[in-house]
Amino acid sequence: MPKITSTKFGHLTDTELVKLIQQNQDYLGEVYKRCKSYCIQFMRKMTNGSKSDYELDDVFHDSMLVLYEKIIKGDFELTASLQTYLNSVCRFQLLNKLGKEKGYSDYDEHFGKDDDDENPMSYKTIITDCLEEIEDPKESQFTAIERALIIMKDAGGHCYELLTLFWYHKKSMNELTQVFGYTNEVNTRNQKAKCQKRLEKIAFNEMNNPQ
Amino acid sequence: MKTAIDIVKNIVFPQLEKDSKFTEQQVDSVFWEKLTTCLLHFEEDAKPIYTHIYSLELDNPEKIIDKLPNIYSQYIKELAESYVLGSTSDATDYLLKTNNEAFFKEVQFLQTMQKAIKSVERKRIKDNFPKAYDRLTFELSETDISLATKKKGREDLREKFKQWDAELSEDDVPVIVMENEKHQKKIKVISLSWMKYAAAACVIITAGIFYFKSTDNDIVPNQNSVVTTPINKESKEGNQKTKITPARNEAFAVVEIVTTSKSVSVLEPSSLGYTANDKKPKVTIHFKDATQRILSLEKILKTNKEKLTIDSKILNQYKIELVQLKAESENYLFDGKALTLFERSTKDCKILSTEEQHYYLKKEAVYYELKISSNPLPLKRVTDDTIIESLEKISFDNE
Repeated sequence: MPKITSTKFGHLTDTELVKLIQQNQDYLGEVYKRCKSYCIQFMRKMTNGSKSDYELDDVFHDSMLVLYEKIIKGDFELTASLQTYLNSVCRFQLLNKLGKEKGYSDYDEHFGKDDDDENPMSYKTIITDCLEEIEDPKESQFTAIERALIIMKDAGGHCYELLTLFWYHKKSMNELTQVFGYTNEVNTRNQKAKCQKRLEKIAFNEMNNPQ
Repeated sequence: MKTAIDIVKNIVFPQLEKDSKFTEQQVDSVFWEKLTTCLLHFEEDAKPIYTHIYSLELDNPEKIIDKLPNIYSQYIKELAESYVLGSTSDATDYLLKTNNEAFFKEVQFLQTMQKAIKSVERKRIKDNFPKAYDRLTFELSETDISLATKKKGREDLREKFKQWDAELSEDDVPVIVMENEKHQKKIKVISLSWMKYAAAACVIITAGIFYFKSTDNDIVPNQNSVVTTPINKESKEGNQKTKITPARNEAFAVVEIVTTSKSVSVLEPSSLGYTANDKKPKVTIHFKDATQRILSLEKILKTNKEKLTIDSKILNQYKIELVQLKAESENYLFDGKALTLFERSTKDCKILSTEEQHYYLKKEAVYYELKISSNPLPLKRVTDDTIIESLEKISFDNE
């Protein structure tokens, strides 16, 4: 059994953690600490040790993203423990990514512990959440915006944070106003519009003068 | 339509507010609904919206009308954003149905941007997973904060001191200039016509004295032409020797130690109750600069190694002195009233004393501890933050 280290927020229930993650993504760190070792062990058993730790880590990270994106979407309901949920997502991610390879489809037969939520190695077959792939038909524009975002991030300032908080972390204008200390939502909206315009400009330059 | 109406309100209301004749009572929900529909059809037919604006009987309706293309563009962008974020309305349905180019372009850009943001942010979050917990549990103790702020505060204070020093030196300049100006004004033009006579008289007198002296020396031995003994020769040779000696000394000249002294008032804590009129204790600082002497001794020892011209006893003395001087260079001697520093004179030297009668030397913004002793002691830099802080306070209070 993997060793579970006691954490500072060990007293928080899973539901409390989900609520806290909605406000501050750093609470994902607590979930990460709590669940990683069992998830990795679970996947190791599932793959009979045929996958490297690096690959399993990557799947676990993707599963954490699935959890986070579900939480920030606002309609996430935890029907099992976070460990069971993450095990299920890891399993589904693995089946999705590597399932075409021989052996993984038989996994359900080895572990039939769907109902035992107390067991850290349990999972639910009904959970089929997986990381949504990012595809874009206009690849050049996508790459240019991606590069522009990195430029913006490296340049410092608040534009990168403002845009990501709005577009990815789904923060409302009111929340952004509080985070950045603007006087009102109109100012925040104007600031966001300016940042978007700046991003558009940098992306345009990147598209026309790729390095 | 509610989303669309809210968007139009947010864009148009601040513009209307600027007009002097506009009142909030003029615009009700019906007005906004109609304006939203008219704005949606702005590209196809602009007349209805113009009529709508004119109906408000504004002071300057043209000002709003001129801005309508920009307002329309912003409206489309915001509708596109709400559509990408998942909210649909009659307005967005209409734009989709009519294949509005601006709307489609904006939607396409925003969707791509959203995906790009998702991609970059996912990478960032993944990279930060291991650090997230540390960030969450990271706490700064009160002591850390106070130490950091204290350090920063001190640095800022030092910067201020430097700035004030610079200001002080700048302030000094005009005073000198003014003095010079005053001095220049006092200068009177003196006629030098009599100088030529005075110079001529001086030349004659000097020549006379020189002539008298030289003849006086030569005549004396010749007075007795018989007594031309070797004694005179020897004495002459002896004289020559004594004349040569200084020349040899010049070649191996040992430079003297330069000693300068200055008296400084001891800076004491203001809490001791001294006022400006009180007599502050003073300490005389003697600077014994042996740099040139050390150099000259080194030079002599080096030259002698090559040519062996100096007596070995003297040479040994020089060697011992050189070692002593070098050892002394980082020492001090303090008896409570006089401080001897074995170095070049520095302007920026202050003596401070604490309430406990501990003495400190401040030299170029660095503090050194002073102990009363009859033997030279090495200068020890003060490293204790608390002491430095109290010394800085004393120094600051005495500025």
